[in-house]
Amino acid sequence: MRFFAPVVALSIAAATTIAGDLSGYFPRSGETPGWTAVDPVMEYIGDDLFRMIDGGAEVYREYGFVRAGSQEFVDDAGHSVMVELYEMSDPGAAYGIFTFKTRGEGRDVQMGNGGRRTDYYINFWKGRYLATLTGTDTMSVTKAALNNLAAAIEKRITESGEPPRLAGKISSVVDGQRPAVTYIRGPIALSNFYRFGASDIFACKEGYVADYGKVTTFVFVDDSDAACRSRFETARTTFAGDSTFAMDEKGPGTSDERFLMSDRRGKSLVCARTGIYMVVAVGGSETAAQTAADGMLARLRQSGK
Amino acid sequence: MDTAIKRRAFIKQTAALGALGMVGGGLAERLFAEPAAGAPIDIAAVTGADSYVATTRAVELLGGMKRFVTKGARVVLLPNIGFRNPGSFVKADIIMAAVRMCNEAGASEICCLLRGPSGFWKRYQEDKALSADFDTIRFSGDRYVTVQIPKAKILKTAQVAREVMEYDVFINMPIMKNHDGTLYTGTMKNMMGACPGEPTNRFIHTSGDGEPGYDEMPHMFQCIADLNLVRKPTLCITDCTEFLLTNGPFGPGKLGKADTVVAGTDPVAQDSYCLRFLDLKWNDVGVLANAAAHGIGQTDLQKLTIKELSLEKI
Repeated sequence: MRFFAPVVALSIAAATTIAGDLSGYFPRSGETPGWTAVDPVMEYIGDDLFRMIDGGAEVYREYGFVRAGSQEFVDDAGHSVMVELYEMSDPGAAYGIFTFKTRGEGRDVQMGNGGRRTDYYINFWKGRYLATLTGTDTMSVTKAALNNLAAAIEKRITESGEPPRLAGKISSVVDGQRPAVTYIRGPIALSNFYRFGASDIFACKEGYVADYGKVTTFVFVDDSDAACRSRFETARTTFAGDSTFAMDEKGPGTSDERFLMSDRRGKSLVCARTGIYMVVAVGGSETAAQTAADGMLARLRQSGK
Repeated sequence: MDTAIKRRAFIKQTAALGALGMVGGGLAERLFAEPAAGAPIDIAAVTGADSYVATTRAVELLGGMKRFVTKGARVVLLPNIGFRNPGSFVKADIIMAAVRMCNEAGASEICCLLRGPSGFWKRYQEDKALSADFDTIRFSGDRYVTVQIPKAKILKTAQVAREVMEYDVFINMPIMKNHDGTLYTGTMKNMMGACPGEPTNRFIHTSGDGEPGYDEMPHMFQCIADLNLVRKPTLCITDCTEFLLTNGPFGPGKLGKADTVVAGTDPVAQDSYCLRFLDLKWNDVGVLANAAAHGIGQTDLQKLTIKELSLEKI
């Protein structure tokens, strides 16, 4: 897709305060020695995000997008770093899009409320904000600039945030393995992990994806036990009518609160619920999926509600 | 083979080898070691470290650019080069290989609908041995015509780049990569690159109501299929060399690498084939089912003749 003119082009020189626009969060040109801004910060508000990142905008909007700014920094040797800052509706949204974008890639870095970096980009979230900094190469000078520019943004964001309540519980180490956890707030993000069908079967508003490699465990959170039971029954009925899934009516453990099936690729699926939580384990053998589902259900029961 | 054909083939190979001498180096001799098959090939997938060479070979396997570009033809290129993160855009080498072949076939005009990020064409602008082809490109993409789409289910009207509707040859040049919303982007979705942000692409992205929600995705799937009714590409060339596996279409994200260029004429078949690089099948994605329902192309790859070639094994 093409680039469009930005909705607002903000002058760095005018960015003396943070309130009102995003440019105040961006490093000043030359603040990181040797690195200057190519153009003013370009800001995109609400629906106009698609002008900046095209189809990537949908998932941001699903999480709760407010506005974004971007600016390129270069050095004299032609190295380049693109800085993007996303203001989300709340810290949960920022945490969510952070986990969606990283998905276990790279390694942890101590930055903001959480950060990860690979050899050419850094993501971190702090309060309602997500920062993404991308180098055009993996040279040491570019990597250093990534760190310095990220630190300059981080110190400007004075607010802080906490991950959603269950995040720690979902990411617990199991058999020596810590899963990559993604917090989701709708079916668009969900569809990037597994296609449960053409329709929005789970009517997902809030959930988690824990990726253990061979088995991926999904947790959907409802407001009440009744709502969760209703969602569970709807899912069971919908899957039963979908020819791409084969229900195992007599599978071990099948009950009012658990059913088993397999998909057309032969992956096992175990769907179970407890209280306000519905758990779906996908992948591996049926035994592995059952074990993953049981383990997650046990941890959720410990968490209360 | 008569003398005339022999001469044409010789001229074609000589010209192509000349180009490879500049770009492809030692692979030039190997490129034509295997003659094009006699049976028509629907999809050619060529794997090799040099994407310029791979592109040239893929089109040759389809019968060569002269099958698509006649002398004096006006050609419009639609490459996906709007982004700059790794794995998010078509390599310049692939575009320039197509330009070279179009020039050799006698194109009277080559229009490229996107300019790419700063520095994208640098190598082809600065190297005198390569700039001759670059100088034949006319960049456009800001003139649109309103097109009625009677068979469309949702997108009944669209604004589309004038050249796509009027030029003799339309070459769609996507990169196969992840897309957070539609799960993939390739030939079908790249058609949105021929449309302006307002009003067409905004309508496709937001369904007009401005409210986020899952209902927008089936809307987008259908609109993309509808949009592809306006014109079928003459030729599709898909960059499957290095591509985003996550966080597409913008990135940054996890990268996949296949060093493959795929050429074909059926946009639905092209995408159905290329989805393998993202570990997807055609019925995993909504766009292709809708496109097939429109009769735009074939999703059943068993019904197609597909040639896969590794340049490293020649």
